[in-house]
Amino acid sequence: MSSIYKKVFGFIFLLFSVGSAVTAPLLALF
Amino acid sequence: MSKAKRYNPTKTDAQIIKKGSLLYFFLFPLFLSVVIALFGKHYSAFLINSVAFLLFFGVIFLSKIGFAQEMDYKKAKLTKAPKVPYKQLSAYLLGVSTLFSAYIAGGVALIDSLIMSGISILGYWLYYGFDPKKDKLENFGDISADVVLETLGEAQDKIADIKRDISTMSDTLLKDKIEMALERADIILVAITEKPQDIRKARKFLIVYIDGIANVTSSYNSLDESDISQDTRNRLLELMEDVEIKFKAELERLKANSQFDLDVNIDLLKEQIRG
Repeated sequence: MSSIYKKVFGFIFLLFSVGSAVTAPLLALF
Repeated sequence: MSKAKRYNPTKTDAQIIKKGSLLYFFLFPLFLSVVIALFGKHYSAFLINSVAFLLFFGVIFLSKIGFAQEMDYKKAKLTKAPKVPYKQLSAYLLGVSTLFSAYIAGGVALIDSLIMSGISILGYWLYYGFDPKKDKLENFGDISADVVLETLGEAQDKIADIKRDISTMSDTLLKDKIEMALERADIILVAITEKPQDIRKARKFLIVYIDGIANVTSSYNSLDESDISQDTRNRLLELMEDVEIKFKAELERLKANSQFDLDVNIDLLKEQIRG
C-alpha cells in the first residue's frame, strides 16, 4: 500500500478510535 | 575545502520534535473532562479522567523518544536498529489508554472499547509506523560492528569535547589551527564511515592523536591564558601544525588504500576475463 494511503487510513483510524475514546469521558459527565 | 561532508551524527532531542501533534490534539477533550469533573465535584470521575489523561501523555512521551530514535537512525550512515522499540511500545500504550478511556472513564461497552483499542493500535502503526528493525551495518569485513561503532562514537565524543574546550580560547591563531585539524579529523571519520574496514589501520589516529589533542586543549584550558609563556605557545602552534600534517597523511593513506583496492579489483577482473 502506498504511503499516502497508509497515512490517510491511519489518520482516519486514529481519529475514529482515539477521538471517540477521549470524548467518551467528557460526554459521560453530561 | 573538499566536498567531504562532516561526520556529525548528533543525537536528536526528543523535546524539539514537532511530529506527534495529532496526539496532543487528543489530549484536549480529556483535559476538559478532568476540569469539568473537578468543578462539578465528581471526584471519582476526576481521578479516572486524570489517569486517562496521564496515560495519553505517556503515549506522547514514548512516541517522541521513538521519533527521535528514528530520526537518528535515518541520519546515521552506520548504526544499529534501536534497542528499545519506543514507537511500538507507545502504540500498545495507546491501545491500553483508548480501552481505559472508553470503557472505564467513558462507560462505553467493553466490546466497543476493545474494538476501538485495536483500531487505535492499527491506526498508530499505519500513521506513524513502527521502529526500524534492520541494522545499518554493511560491508564490515571481519571487524565487529560494535568495535566500529564504539570507536567512531568515542572519536566523535572527543572531537566534541575539544570543540567545547577551544570555544573559550582567546588565542585565535591557535584556535584556527586546532579547528583546521578538527575539520580534517571530521573528514577522516567520514572516510572511515564509508569504508569501515579501514578502522583497524586508522585506530592509531582515532585513539592516539585525537586523545592527544583533547589532553592538550583541556590542560591549556585549565591554565590562565596570560600564564602561558610565548615559548609554550610556539611549541603548541608547532605541535598543531604537526598534527595537521599527520591528519593529512592519514587521509592520503586512506585514499591510497581505496586506490589499492580498486587496482586489486581491476587486476582480478582482468584475470577472470582472460581465464
